[in-house]
Amino acid sequence: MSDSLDRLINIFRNNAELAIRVKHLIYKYVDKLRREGYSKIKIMNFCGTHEWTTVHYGIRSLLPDEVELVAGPGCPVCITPSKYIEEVIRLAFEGVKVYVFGDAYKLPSVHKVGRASCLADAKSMGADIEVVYSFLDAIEDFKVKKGEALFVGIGFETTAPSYAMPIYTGLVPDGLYLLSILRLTPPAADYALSAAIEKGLEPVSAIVAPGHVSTIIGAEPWDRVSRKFGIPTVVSGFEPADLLISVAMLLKMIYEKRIGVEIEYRRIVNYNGNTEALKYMYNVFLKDEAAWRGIGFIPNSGLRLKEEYNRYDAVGRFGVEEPTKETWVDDLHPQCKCAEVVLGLKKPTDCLLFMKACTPERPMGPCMVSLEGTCSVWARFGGGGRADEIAKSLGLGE
Amino acid sequence: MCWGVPAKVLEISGMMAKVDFGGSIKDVLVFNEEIKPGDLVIVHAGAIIGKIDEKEVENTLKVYGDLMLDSLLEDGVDKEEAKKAVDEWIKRLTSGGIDDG
Ligand code: SF4
Repeated sequence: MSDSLDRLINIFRNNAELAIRVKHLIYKYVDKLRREGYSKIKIMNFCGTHEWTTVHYGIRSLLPDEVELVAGPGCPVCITPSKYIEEVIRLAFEGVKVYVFGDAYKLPSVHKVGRASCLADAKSMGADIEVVYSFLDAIEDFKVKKGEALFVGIGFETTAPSYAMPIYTGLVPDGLYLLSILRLTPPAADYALSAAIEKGLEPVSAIVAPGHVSTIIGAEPWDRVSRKFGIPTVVSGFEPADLLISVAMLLKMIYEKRIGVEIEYRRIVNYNGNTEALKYMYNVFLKDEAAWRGIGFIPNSGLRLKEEYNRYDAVGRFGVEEPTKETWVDDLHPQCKCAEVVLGLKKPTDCLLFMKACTPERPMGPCMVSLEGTCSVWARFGGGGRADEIAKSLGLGE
Repeated sequence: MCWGVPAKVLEISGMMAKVDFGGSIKDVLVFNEEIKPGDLVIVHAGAIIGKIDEKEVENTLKVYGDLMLDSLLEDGVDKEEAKKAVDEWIKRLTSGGIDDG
């Protein structure tokens, strides 16, 4: 690619010297913290891509035992309620064309619709379902089609503006409808941090905030979460050196008893975010209480289309039955631990189905589907970077 | 789902940009008016979510440089020497001179 991109990659990815030096620093800070009486430092990430980097590059095995990296709610596919998938399968069987991201194509529903329990099944039974890379690609494709189509609008703040802008600027052709299942990360972070405290588990000591979500929302919302829980946050990039530097920064902040947010991923994130993208997002959507799979309703954690954009809303057009607080029932396979995995309360290897009944080829729970689902990441790269986790789960070794 | 891929902007026309992902060229949405051809950007789900600020690459390394300086000083390295070591090391990094996989 271009020289400047190569240069970036050389600095933050192919750079063993930087990694070794940061690792040395991390050990130093942990030594100091140990002397201050810290025995456990639990650092939570809120982005599937951070979990991917952590596992892919074996970051966990580079860290001292005291430092535990935990995956929090960071994958929008994993938390999409089953009810939406069931409704989309129903509509697909009724003849509505469906566009979906590849990541959600195999997302399993708890109840079968017809004989299908995911969109891939429905497609194999003849439904018109197309995997696309973006809302824009669906728009381009639909321009030459007839009839009506629905776009499965999964995503966090990173993705929301890519739905909002075409709607706001009138790029969306008649007949194409958006099913907004957009979710917001800071309210989920708040929920996960509180859950650890309420359950009497080791509270989270620091946050690695999601870099690309923060490109849009800025570091400011994380500052608020940090201050509420009295812990430090670093907004991190996604290369292995970024994550290691972020961990070192967090340990230093803990040692210096500083709370609030710092930005490591400065090459693209600022404190206020991408104000133009946010303008599109909040012109088109409004915040609402929303359901998270296996978890239930979290206040102000979803985005729905404003009334003036009703003509793009799949919910009204197709009578999509959304989950409600009154009718909410747990929507995971009875043995699936995804809700706890998503909240950072359990690891994939704590689930009895992990790599037995539930594999990336045949996922039983939502965390095994997306490339960024924690179970799927652990399945493909081997147990969170520590092979012994898997060995233990298989009854090998201690 | 929040994957972002770096790309280079080739041209802009209105709300759309042509970007190069290292050989593969694609049309994507642009939210920000200040994005110009030649910029390095991060693309997610068919939209440019932000511009990579090259000046800030150096600043990230400075954050790390400060951490490293602390550590050298604590190890008892002379202040001037430590500063020189950190500066040289960052210079070497940013000039792309390190590639030890
Ligand atoms: S391994 Fe499968 S069933 Fe178990 S928690 Fe993960 S996704 Fe759910």
